[in-house]
Amino acid sequence: MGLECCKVGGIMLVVTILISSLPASAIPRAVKIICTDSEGKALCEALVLVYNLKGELVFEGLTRENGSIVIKLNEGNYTIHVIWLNTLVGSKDIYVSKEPLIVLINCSVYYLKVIVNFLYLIPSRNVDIVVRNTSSGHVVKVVPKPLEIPYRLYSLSAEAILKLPRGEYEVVVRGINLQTKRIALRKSTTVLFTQVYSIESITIFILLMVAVTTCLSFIFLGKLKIQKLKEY
Amino acid sequence: MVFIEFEAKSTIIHRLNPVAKLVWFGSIVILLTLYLEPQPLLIIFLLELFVGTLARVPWRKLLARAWWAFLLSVFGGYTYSLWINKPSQFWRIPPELGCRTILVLTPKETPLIGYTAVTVGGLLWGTAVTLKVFIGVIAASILTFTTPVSDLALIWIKFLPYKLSFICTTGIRFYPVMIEKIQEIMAAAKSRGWDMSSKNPIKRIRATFPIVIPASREAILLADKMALAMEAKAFGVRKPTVLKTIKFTWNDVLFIIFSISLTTVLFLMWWFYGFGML
Repeated sequence: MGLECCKVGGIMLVVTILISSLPASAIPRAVKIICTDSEGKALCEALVLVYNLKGELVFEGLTRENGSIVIKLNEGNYTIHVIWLNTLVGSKDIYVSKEPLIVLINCSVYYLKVIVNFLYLIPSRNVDIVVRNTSSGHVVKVVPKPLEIPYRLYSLSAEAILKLPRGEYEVVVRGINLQTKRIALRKSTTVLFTQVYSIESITIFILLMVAVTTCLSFIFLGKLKIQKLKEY
Repeated sequence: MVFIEFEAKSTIIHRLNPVAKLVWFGSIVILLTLYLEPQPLLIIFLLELFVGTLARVPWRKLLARAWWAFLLSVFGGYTYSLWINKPSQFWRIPPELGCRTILVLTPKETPLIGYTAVTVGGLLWGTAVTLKVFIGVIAASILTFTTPVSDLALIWIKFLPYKLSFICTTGIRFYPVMIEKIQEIMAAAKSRGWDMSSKNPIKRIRATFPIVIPASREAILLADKMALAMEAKAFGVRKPTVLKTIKFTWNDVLFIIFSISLTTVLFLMWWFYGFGML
C-alpha cells in the first residue's frame, strides 16, 4: 500500500514538473474577437482571419450572431483581418500574453438604406435591388422583391437596409422601369429612388390622380352650378 | 339612428343624387371594416370633415346629439385596448413596439380579467376603434342631413318589395318625430315634479313608467293615424306610382368616381402595403 502511494505521488510530481517546464507560448490562450460595424452593432457572419508573424494563416472562422468569435492562440504576435462581402473591413495587430484577451474591432461597414418611393409618395414594393462595386465590378448584394415596408406612424416607404463595406457602389433598382445611382459609401447613407414604379405603385398613383382630379372637378362644377342657380 | 334630420340647403352635397351619396357612404363603411390602425382612419376622418363642411353640417348640433356615442366609443375603445398586449395580436406593427408597456394595470395571474396593461399597440387600437365610431356616426349624419328619406326610399324601392320598403321608410321617417314626442312628455313630466336622479336601479326603472306609458300611447296613436291615412290612399291595392326618378348629373358621376377611386386606393394600400393593419 505504501509503495503504491509512493508510485502515484512520484507520477504526479513528474507530470507537474513537466507542465511547469513547458514554455508559456505552448499553452493556448482564449482570445475573444468582437466585430462591430460603424454604428457599434454586432457584425455577424464576418470572416475572421488570423495570421502569425510569419504571415501564415492560423485561424479562419465566422463571427456569431453577437458579432464575436472565441479562438485559442498561443502566446505571441498576430494580425487579425476581418472580411465582409469579400472586402477587408478591419484589421488589428494583437499580442497574446498569459492573460485572456478581448479584441474589439470596429469595422468600416456602413448602412446603406435604399428607399423606393415612386414620386416620393407611393412605395414601390415589387422591385429588385442590385448593388455593384464600381471598382471591382462585382455584384455585392441582391435584394429580391418584395421590399419591406416598416411600420411608422407618419410615413410609408418601401425600404431595404444593406450593410456594405466602405467603397464606391452602383445601386440599380429594377421595377417596371429602372433607375441607377452611384454612391461613395463613406458613412451610413440613405438613397432615395423616386422614379421606379411597380404594378401596384403605378395603379395606386393613377387611381390617386383620378380621385384628386374628380374631387377638384366636382367642387368646381358644383360651386359653378350653385352660383348659376343663385344668379338665375 | 338619425342624429340630425334632413335640412333643405343649397350645397353641392345636398344637390347630389342619393345614389352618389349612398356610394360614398358605402365606401366609408367598407373602409371602416378594413382598418385596425389609426393612420388611414385619420385620412378618412379628414375627408369626411371636408365633405361635412361642404354640406354645411351643423357640427354643434351633431355634437350635442351624438356626444354620448362619441364618449361611449372613447370609453369602450380604450377600455378594451387594455387587453391588446400580446404579440400574436399584431400583424404589421413590430411586436416589441406593440407590446411596449406604458402602465401595467393588473398582473398576469389576476383572476377573470388576466393581464391588462396600457401598451403602445393597445393605444393605437383604441384610437382606431374610437375613430371608427366617430367616422361612422358623422358619415351617417351627413347622409341623413343631406338626403331626404323619400330620396333614399326611391333607391330601396327598386330592390325591396314595396311594402317592406314602406316599413323601412316609415321607421326612419318617424324616428325623429318619436324622439321629439318623448322629449315633450319628459318636459311635461318634469314640470309635474318627475325625477329620475335616484341611484337605485329599481327606483330608476320605476321612474321611467310615467314616460314609457304615454310614449307607447303616442306611438300607437301615430301608427293608427298612419294606418288610417294609408287605407284612405288605398295602400296595398297595387304597386304605388313613383313620383320622382333618379337622374344623374356630371357632378354625381364625378362624386361616385371620386368615392370609388379613393376607396380602391386605400384598399390597394391595405392589400399591398398593410396600410391600416395592426
